[in-house]
Amino acid sequence: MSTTEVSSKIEYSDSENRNALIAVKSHLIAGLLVFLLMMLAGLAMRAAQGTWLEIGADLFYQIMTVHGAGVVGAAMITSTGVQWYFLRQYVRLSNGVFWTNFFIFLTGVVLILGSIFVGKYGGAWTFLFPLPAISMGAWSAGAAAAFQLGLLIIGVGFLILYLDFGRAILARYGSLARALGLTQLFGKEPVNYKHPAAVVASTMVLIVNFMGIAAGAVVLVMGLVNLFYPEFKPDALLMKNLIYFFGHVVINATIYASVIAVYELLPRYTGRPWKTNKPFYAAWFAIVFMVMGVYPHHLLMDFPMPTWALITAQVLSFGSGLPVLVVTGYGALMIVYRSGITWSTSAKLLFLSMFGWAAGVIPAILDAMVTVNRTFHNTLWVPGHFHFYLLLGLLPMLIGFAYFLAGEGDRKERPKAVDSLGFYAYLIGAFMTSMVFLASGANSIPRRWAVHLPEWIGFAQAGTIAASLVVLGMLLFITRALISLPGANNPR
Amino acid sequence: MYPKAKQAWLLLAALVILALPPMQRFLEQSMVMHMLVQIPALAIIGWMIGKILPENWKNNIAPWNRWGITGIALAIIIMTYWMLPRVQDAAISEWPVELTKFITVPIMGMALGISWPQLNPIAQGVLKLEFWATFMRLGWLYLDLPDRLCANYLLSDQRVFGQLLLLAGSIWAVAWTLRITFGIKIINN
Amino acid sequence: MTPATVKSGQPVEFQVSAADVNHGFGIYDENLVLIAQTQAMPGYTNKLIHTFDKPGKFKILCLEYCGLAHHVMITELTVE
Ligand code: HEM
Ligand SMILES: [Cu+2]
Repeated sequence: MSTTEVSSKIEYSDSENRNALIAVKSHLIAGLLVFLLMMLAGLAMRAAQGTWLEIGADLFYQIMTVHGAGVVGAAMITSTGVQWYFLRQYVRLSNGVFWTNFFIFLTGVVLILGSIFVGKYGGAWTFLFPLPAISMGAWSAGAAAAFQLGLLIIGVGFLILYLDFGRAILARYGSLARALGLTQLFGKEPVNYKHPAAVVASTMVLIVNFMGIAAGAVVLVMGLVNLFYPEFKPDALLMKNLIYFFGHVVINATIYASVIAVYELLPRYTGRPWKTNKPFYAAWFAIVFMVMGVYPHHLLMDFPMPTWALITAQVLSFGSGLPVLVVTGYGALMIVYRSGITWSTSAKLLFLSMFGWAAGVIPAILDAMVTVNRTFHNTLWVPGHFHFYLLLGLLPMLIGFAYFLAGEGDRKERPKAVDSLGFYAYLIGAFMTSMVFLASGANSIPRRWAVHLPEWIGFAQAGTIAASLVVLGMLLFITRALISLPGANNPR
Repeated sequence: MYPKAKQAWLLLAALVILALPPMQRFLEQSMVMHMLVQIPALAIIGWMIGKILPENWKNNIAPWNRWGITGIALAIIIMTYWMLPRVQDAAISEWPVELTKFITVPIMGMALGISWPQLNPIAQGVLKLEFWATFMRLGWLYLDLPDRLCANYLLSDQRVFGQLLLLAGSIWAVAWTLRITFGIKIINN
Repeated sequence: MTPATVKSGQPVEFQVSAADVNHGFGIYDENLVLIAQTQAMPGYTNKLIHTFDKPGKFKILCLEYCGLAHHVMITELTVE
């Protein structure tokens, strides 16, 4: 392992490559379809809150549960598709393991759907202990168990995949520290501008998700024990800590997996390479701890929490996301500036994602301040913040990648009118959806209320209109993806 | 051949010493000793026996133990069985159960020792995490459960045992993290 | 909640806990503006100290999802 090692790409056989492409497409199509369905669910919820659609509270909360679990699952599986597609070019990954995770995931999804729509489980995707066990007869212990078992199974699938990532990364780089670029950061090795950003990002995702899954493996089983053996009453605050650690890490990591698309694709569109450097490594190193340390900002209104944990979380939250965001945003600007880039739909989406991510961080930082949190916690401000950075940061990366995979870049074509319509419908709709959530939160409207008070209904109706725009945009994107993705060759 | 035979005698002797009634009583008087000394000792003896098993025996087992799957499955079944508190209780008060323990736990160690190296590295990783999680879950359970799980042991004993499990799990987690992050390959290609 | 009436101009301590699942305890003023909150968690008692600066009819809304009846958990608090 010489220090001047150039990042040569891994060679696979043709049949391996064909199979891999099918696998990535399957991840993308499955994920995007779930997103579309879940957006319809979101639209239904907004319409119900705006009194334009009449559904019972039980159905509303089931829809809320499926929406939460569904988008988190879709975000995980789609971003994993993106990540795997690029990572396998630098380290030797196994197609078999990739498919295995995909099918385990589908099994988990079936369990979760069954628990919600057959078992009537409506305890939200956060399964906050002890709600799954105490539903006042709305759902059975079996339904709650199926939900948590589904999550557990999905966790095992991803664990298998990450072990394969870990194996492959260690085989090539010897240690995770080296893969993260720490040896270069701390001067043990000369800086190698060609050290792949995809490897750095994947290593970070691998580490935090491994920890997240470990916490999930404990807390999910403790929840299951409680379901069938109610004398065992674990401490509610400890359970909450573990659940939020698990949930926050897992959903947060999806954007760090997807941002690889920015690192890999913008250089293709501009003809300038993405160079890794010390600030880049430092940012990714910091984010490992930040992603794991910020979750207590969900617990600021739990006064028994130790003060140091809350302060740490608050400090980390201010800076969370920022390091990677800054190096990525700056890098993206530098790469695009005066490069004569063709603004294909893919390039537009990837560029938009940087803005959405950056802007989406601001409300999160605000909410992480105790003084603000006192009046924003568990209001619609919170969904406002995460819809912002998920709808305008994460999804554009994923859809942008789908356009790339569908061969848009190879054909050098300008966006068609439908694509532009889709893009702007999505952009405006997503922006409005998030802003209406934020405005509602600023007006003290609580989150997770099936029925809104008369004073709040106007917000929900505005939200419904915004949501229909998002759905329209997404529908156009997906139609395009479904038409051109399946037959597309591997982009050069 | 000579050192192998000598080792075999030593292991057998260790087994017999563990089985001597005073030794038994001593090791089973507290839950911590029982679970963290006696049972692991039995398992380790089994593991060592597995190492010095004659080659032709191993070759005979091999077709039944492709990729180590059968062996690991057997080990997990035995392990799960001996994790049931009721069974632990029974082992103390009824000699046939005690005898079963002295036979099956070394077999578990042996199966684990023979099969683990053959197991796919990814399966090893999943199992390691699962074992770790089991430590944490059981530790937590033993700490929080309002009632005694074993009629033969005191509640305070159970609490100490729970704390020790959590401690062991935490040390393991830290060690593991350090190893993966800074060097040393844990999963070989 | 006892008592349902408190005095304005002096600190009031709310001792918030939950018997079954997690709830939230959000104090809303007459204009439906959230002015203070804490979590209500089984096994814990959160002390929320708040000074009402004016009298009026306040509302307590549940701010942690607690099941199908979450949005009907509204109660009144009178500040004199
Ligand atoms: C058209 C697009 C969407 C609409 C209209 C929408 C709408 C909603 C609504 C109404 C809620 C419940 C708000 C409440 O607490 O009252 C919600 C929750 C949520 N949404 Fe969306 N959503 C959309 C897309 C997405 C996407 C793409 C993601 C993730 C990538 C997402 C993630 C979530 C999450 C995690 C929750 C929290 C669920 C819970 O509170 O248990 N949403 N959404
Ligand atoms: Cu509630």
